Amino acid sequence: MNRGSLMIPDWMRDSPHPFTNVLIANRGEIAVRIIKATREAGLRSIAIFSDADRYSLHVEIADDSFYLPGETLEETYLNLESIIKIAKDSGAEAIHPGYGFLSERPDFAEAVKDAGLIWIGPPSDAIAIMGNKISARKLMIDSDVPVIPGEELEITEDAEHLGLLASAAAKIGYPLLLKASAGGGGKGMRTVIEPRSLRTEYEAAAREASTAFGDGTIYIEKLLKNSRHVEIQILSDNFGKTIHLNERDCSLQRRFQKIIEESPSPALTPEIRKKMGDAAIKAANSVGYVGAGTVEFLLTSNGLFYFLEMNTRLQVEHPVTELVTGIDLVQKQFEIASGLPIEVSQENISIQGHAIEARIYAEDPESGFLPSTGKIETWIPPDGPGIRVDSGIREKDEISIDFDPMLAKLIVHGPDRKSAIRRLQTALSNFIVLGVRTNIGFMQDLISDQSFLIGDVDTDFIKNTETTNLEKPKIDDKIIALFASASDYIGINRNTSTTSKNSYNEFNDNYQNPFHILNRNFP
Amino acid sequence: MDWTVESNSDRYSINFKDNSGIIHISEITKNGEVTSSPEISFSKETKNGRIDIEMEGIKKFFHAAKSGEMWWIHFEGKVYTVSSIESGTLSSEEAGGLTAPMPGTIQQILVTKGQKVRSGQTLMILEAMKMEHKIKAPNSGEIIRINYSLGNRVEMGANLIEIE
Repeated sequence: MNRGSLMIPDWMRDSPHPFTNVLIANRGEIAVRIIKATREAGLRSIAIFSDADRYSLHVEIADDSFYLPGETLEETYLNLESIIKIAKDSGAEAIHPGYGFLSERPDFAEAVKDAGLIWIGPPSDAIAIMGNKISARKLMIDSDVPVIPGEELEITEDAEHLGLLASAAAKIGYPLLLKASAGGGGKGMRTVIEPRSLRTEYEAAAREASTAFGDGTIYIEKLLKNSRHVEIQILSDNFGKTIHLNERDCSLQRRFQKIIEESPSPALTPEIRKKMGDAAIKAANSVGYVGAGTVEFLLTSNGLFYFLEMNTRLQVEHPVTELVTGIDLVQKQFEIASGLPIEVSQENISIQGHAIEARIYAEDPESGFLPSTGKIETWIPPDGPGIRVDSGIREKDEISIDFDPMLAKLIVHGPDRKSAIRRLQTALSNFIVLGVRTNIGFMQDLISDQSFLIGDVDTDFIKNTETTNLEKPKIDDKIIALFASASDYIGINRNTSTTSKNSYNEFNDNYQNPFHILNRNFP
Repeated sequence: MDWTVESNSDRYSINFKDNSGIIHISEITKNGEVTSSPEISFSKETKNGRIDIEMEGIKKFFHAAKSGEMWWIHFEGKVYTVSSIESGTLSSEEAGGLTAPMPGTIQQILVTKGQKVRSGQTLMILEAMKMEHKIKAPNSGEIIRINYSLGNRVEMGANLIEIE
């Protein structure tokens, strides 16, 4: 039977634009997350995959999947023509872009609409304005949202760019930050402490920005020391209603990339939360936003905050908000895209307990966090009440350099911050990944640090805290050599169980796990 | 078989004896000399890579997996890697060239063959997962070989440049 003729689910019965078939224009953990959400919402999921993903988890669990020919990302996951063609051919009525890839490409949003499909995301002009960090800054200044002191001047590589750069830098003062106008995720971002390194850092930033975003335009901001990264989740519908779902504190970063996120922020008073929430709503309204989005702020130690950027998509760290507010953000995206209004009012958004997310990366903290590759020989994620693991990985998967090195997101929820940290500590310790180096051990040390325990970290915490300080004494080499030698003696590599652990077993052979049902615990 | 942990150079050689399903240590040598044996016994029964042990009277467990010639051990929240080397052979640490610290693409080559470089000078920029990594000269000298060209994709451990 063709499941394309699925009935419209109950919740969508009053929608002006109902849909049942959703193409997920992404891969990895976020594709898995969205596919699970479609199933829960009574919708049908259509996955896409390149050669590298033929046997990936998101393809295995989707209702249907289509092959994207080509070798490069441009030919596959960034190929809007080919993705839209698959959507049309497969009977998809809506496209969810996930995060990364085409999610913040206004031309893709436009092309989806032109093809007569529903775009599960904000209007293309909102993406375009916020996507250009320089135009976003200008609009925020006009909308009375505070921005970091800086220069909006566009620096593109031409004959005079170095002179312009130097004079703008002198005006703002050192230390400063060079940022890619098209940027995000820490790429194309460089700190400049003193004038003599301005030129080399600028060139590195521009080069990285060109590679990552195809646009080497750089702008300058004052570097605000000892500040925290706090962002507000917002939801806007098609009827002009915008609410905020409180904050996420993403102050624990490495090379400008978030690694730990939590909600509520240990640094926010109810007054600042209210002000920041209002500013985020103002920012969203200024671009006529629709859907789920995030407004990022820098919060200084004296309680002042400044607009950083708006991410016009679902964020990696969205589960943290889901756990403390009880609102499933992907379900809300579906509702808004189908034209339904947001029913919940701002007063009814609450903070229940505390949630923390740790991003598990394939990287080696002991060799400067270089990405690591290889085959996942053992993959045993933790589970239990208050533990959620979002991942696109399973045992025996190969980790290559083709994609982002994030293996999973481990999200815990507890009645308060202390118990959430304790739960995260245990969950990390029970997260067994063998065959590829990860940051799991490093994370355990990191969250045991006194500064983190009392909630006093800024975005430079990892850089300022020597990794050696974070490392606890290790077990004697002799014991570890003994373990390996004994494993070899016992013949453990020949001893692995005969039942295939290669297949995704959430829906079938997992009965013996008493927490099995709790695994599906979003929101 | 000799065993080395992480990047340490100490070599251990271990003999076991099997007592009705429980494995005991009969002798450990460290760098060729007999050393004291810790109080650990191992259960022969394993499941999904888990091995039960008794360590100083307390029951514990660890997880192990083999990948190539490398053993991976997870014990009390931490992961360790152990290499096995045929007894009597030399480990594969070779001096000389500069190797790729990770798999990636050569994005920039900043030196040419025959060029004199000083210690710490950036020779090459390697890009992986959209992050740039500098390959720097470990010592001063002359570039005698550049083994890859711009845009080449290299595996981890690839010998990129040789300095004399």
